[in-house]
Amino acid sequence: MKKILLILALFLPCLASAEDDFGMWYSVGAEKKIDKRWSAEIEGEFRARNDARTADRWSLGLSADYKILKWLKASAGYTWLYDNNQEKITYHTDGTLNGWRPSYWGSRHRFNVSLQGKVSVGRFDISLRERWQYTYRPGRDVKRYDFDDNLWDYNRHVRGKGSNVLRSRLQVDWSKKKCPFNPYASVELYNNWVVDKTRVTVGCDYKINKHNVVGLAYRFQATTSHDDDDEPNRHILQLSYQFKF
Amino acid sequence: MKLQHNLLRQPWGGRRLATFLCQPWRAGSWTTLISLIILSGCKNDDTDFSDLINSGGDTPAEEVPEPEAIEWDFSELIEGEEIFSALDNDYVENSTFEKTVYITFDGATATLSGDTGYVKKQISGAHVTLTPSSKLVHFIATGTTSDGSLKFYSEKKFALTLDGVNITNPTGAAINNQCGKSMYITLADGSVNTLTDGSTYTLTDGEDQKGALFSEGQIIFNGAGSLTVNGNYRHGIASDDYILFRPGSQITVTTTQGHAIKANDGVTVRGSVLNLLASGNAAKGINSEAYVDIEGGRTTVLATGSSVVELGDTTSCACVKADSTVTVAAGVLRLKATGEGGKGINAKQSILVSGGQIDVVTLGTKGLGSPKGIKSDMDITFRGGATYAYSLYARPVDAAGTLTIAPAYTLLTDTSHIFQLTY
Repeated sequence: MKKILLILALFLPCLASAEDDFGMWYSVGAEKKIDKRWSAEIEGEFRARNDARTADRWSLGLSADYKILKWLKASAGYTWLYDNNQEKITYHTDGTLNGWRPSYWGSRHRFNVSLQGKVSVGRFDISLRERWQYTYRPGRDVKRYDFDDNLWDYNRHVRGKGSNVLRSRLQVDWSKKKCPFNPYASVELYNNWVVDKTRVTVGCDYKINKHNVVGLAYRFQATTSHDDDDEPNRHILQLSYQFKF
Repeated sequence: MKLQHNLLRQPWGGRRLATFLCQPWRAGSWTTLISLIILSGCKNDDTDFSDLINSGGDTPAEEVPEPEAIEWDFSELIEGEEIFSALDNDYVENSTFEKTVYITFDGATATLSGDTGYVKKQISGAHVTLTPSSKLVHFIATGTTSDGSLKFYSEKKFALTLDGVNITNPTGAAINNQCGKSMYITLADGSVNTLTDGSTYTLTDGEDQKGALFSEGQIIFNGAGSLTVNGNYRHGIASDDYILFRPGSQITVTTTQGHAIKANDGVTVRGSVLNLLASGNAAKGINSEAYVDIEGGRTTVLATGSSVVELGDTTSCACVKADSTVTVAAGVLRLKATGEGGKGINAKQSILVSGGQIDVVTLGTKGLGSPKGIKSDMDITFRGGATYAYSLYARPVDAAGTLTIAPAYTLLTDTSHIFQLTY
């Protein structure tokens, strides 16, 4: 199993098409059940883009879940994101180069609240999660090169910006007693007055024991021209580890 | 399997985790995984522009030098004697004004004296409207009013001497010439004169009123007096024809909205000390819809406004802006633009520097506009004189066409912030 995972991680970049990117996501988290209703979670994540050759982002998140009913759960969380913002190149109307803002690292702050409902049908759990997410990027100065003037501008101000997104995720999980494998599949829409991103995920968690769970998932992320982060379509391989207290 | 069974029997998951992780065969997997993570992110995915970019990195290629200090200069200027042709209409000395009318302002009233029979007159409080008859008339204005004005309708050119006059018109131009012929303005020797417009204008149908001192025809300044013009609503000194400054005068113009000096058909500075301040957004110190010629005198211009976007076009402030050419043959031209995107000299056609002294400093940031020191949409040619141009955030000299530097100079410095050339 381990060897299969490693081989996949090494060779999956080859599956990406010429325009689509390939990325690797690694996450490590821990969950603690506080009581029958409350639980808390911490998770760190690293993402790579550019056929997994370039660091894309680090993040660290905290969240809390509250089970309202057996089938209904609310959660809220905060995530600190540290992004490698991709370069931006601008052109004149005649196609010649105008300016170039190289990539730069910057923080964002994300807050979210979610409501998730779940129904069980045999061995399948079908859940729908609605998550409202607000992300704020503080303003800062970056450097930009002007090709007309052949000069660097070291004080180009990027204004702070906040964005709201409604994420709707429909997920189907399969589980069987005493079976350590939990495969799942999901579709998630990012709605910012228009659908600007769609994620389709197929994955499987493996319960090593009561406390340790590893996961492997394939995700395809499709973006539209409205996507705020200006990301390309991306095939993603996600490796995860979670420790449950 | 045996290991997993043992793990499940232990009460604390954390110790199990450590044991789990440290198994030799698992250590190999973790090493590979960590190696994968480290290898991800080793590459920068920025486009390689190293062949196009002069310098890069996280620090400026050169230290940013301090610019020359440029501020208004009221010191005396010794100017040579004028030499001019007896046929040159620009010289009031070449015209004979047979009649003289005196206009005296006194608070809320104005009175006329002299050859008043040769002018049609209309006086309302201190607002005076005069229409000379068939003769060439010389008007002389004195006195002070805080609610008055001088307006002229004429078929012929006329002369106006300001001899210690202070006119403020709260509802329009202080002096408004609706005649399309030359208006010769003489600043009487040693006199101190002030013209101020209002913060709003009451307009008359079919008539322009473009500044505190406005003329449909040419304005030609002479005389060894001083004049201060304050433009609160529109331009300071404006003409729908050309404006000429002869030697000898001291003229100060301040505007908060429009341009300090605005002319449709050209601005020529042959002499005088001019100190101009344009602080409105996109306002210019000297704005000509034709040429700007500097042939003498000492002109200091400060432009401080920010850029604006009008109908999709960005307009920045500038000390000197010409829709055609700018030539500097003699005299001193000192320019400082501090507004965002503000330029020193901005010419749509060519710039020619053949003499004189030019000092230009632009300190504004680059935003909507680019704060270049000397900029032409065509060619820039240096043949003589001494030029210093400094820009903190853009090119000090930028020619869209050809930049020509005639040989035989004694000093040439051309860096990303400073252009200095001396012949």
